[in-house]
Amino acid sequence: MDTTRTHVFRPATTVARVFTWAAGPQGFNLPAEQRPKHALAVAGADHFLDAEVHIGSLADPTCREVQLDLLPKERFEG
Amino acid sequence: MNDIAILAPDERALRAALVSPRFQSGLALGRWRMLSICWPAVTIAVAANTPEYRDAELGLRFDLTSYPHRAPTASTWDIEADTLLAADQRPVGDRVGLVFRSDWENGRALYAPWDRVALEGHADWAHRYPMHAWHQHRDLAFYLQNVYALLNVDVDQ
Repeated sequence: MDTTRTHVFRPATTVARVFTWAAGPQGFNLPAEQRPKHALAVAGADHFLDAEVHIGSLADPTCREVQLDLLPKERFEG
Repeated sequence: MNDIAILAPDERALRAALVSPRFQSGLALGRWRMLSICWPAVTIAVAANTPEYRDAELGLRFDLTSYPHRAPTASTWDIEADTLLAADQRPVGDRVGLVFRSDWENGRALYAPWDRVALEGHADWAHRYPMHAWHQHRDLAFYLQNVYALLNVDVDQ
């Protein structure tokens, strides 16, 4: 199963715009009602990314790549 | 003898958090606004835009004792009446309504792993919800950003 999508973005692209791509038809094509229930995080990080963060600020300066996870927002129960 | 005022470590840490880029960015973007500081109580209004809360604000009255080593805890606050927000005025919805529930702890805290009362009452939440759980390296903007994301359904991220 292909669980990775790649795309080239300008460094000034915001996380919000990357999310739109990742959740949309060019990405993982989430159903519309599912999109607000997901968010992006840097792989392995312990927090979601703010929408206005520029993707270039997250990239490795040598290879200019960044790996993100598209994760569901949890419903807190217990 | 001169009077000597010493700021407690928790209040000093909070004052530093208030000038952090992330907190200031939230202020500049209109995501939240500071209403008052009467240590350890801090009152902040968070912008909301949900089907039930159109272009509105939700007040939060924080208790920041021992910040940031212990998580903040906040009550949903009626800004005009300066009291706890009535149960029937709280945000509703599946995930949102659970966080702002009034049938737990008399509605005095948010039912979420970034809130002290909820986190300390659920020993497994730090492991179950690591993306949302408070730890001492978080800051007040982390708490506010989580609340803002809950209250703004149009936010992509």
